[in-house]
Amino acid sequence: MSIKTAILPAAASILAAASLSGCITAGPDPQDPYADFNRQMFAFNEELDKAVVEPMAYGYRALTNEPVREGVGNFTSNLGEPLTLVNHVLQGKLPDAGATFGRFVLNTTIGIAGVFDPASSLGMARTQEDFGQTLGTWGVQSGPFLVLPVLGPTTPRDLVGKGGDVGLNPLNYPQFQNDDAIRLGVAALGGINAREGAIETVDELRNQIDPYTTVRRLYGRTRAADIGIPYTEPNDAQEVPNDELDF
Amino acid sequence: MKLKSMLTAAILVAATAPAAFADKKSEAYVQANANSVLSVLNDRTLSTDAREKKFGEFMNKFANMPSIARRVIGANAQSLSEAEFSRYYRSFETYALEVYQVHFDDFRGEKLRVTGSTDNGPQRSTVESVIKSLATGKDTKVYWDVLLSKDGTSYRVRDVGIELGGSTLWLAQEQAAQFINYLDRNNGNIDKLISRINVLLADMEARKKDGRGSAYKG
Repeated sequence: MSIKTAILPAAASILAAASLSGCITAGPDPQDPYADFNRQMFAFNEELDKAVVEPMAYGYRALTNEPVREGVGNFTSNLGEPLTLVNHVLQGKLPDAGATFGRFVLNTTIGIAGVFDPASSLGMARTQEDFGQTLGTWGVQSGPFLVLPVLGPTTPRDLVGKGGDVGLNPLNYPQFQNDDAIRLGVAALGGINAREGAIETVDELRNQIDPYTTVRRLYGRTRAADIGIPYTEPNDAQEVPNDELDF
Repeated sequence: MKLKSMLTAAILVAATAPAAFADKKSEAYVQANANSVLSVLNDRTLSTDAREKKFGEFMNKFANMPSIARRVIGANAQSLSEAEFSRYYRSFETYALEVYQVHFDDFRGEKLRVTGSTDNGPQRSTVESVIKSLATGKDTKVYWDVLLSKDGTSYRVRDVGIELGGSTLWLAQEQAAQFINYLDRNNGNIDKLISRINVLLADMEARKKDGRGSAYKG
């Protein structure tokens, strides 16, 4: 992948995030101004998942065993370490950057291209950072919650972050024969492996009173925790009404 | 100058003493009752039905379930007739107890340890505790939003917050967000919410029977 093609998705995501507010109409709920659009996209993604991705995840589960899936997960996570390292540096977390570098070297060599995770066994826990988190650390506000077709839940900040991740990942730059096809294949394998790991969780989410609201709040809470900022929706901080105190 | 400082200190102590006392009592209340609730879930001498019944009885003493049922539907509660609320409450109570049971089941057989509390006013405090999670094997923080009665003699738990992945999931708040959104999208129709709750309850029962476990974990 050349520098030009690596930067392209970053620029596209920035443009998409910047122009989204012009394409969808904001609703009355300040906590979720694009709820109508988001719910339509959420339903679309659900159908797509049920028709294509989930059956593949079940098929993958049937064809593989736990050690194989763990190895695939380790391998794809290891490929994400350089991106985490770059984001550690951008966030000024230099000791974490050093630890991530150590993890990557150890797992890529002794861990046979990252299939095994000896670093964790030595107490070097995996951390994961992306450019959306870096933007959050720099004080960039998330903007409204969005659900996009195929991409799923995001915010304008995280959408820009996703593009930034493609541009910032050092592993996207080396060129070799069929590099794009190989990168795409690895990403697809990582995606299916991750979806297999989330079969039960997705099942639980579908069995909520309002799955969309659960996902929206879960996303906000998780991203805030990743960045290290508090997550409170306005209605969470309401005073206790007098009738509840009257006992 | 010395006398002035002492007087200031005395006034401060006098002003804060009742609150600190209330907090300690809230802490003791949570310590005793939360462990009782957890011990019910771990009581293998009881049949599943008997355990669920006893768990329900404990939860009804520990928390004001009708009050929670009203809170989680927000302003919609004001427009319900008594008959409508009664129908809704029947489904809600079963559902909420099932959900609490699933969350507390993560701590089955473990002892909860109260670690402190924060005073949030004359009748309210947040009690902090830790307990080992069976799922992660690590100590998990559990927070209790506790109300004190006007006469200062009894307590009620208003909400329970469980630390998950670096943030706190408040169970009643989470239910409120879902219930209110669901009602908003269905013109406040309580029967549609009752139907939805009953569908999920039926699914939970089916899961118990075929051994898939509960589907509800926020």
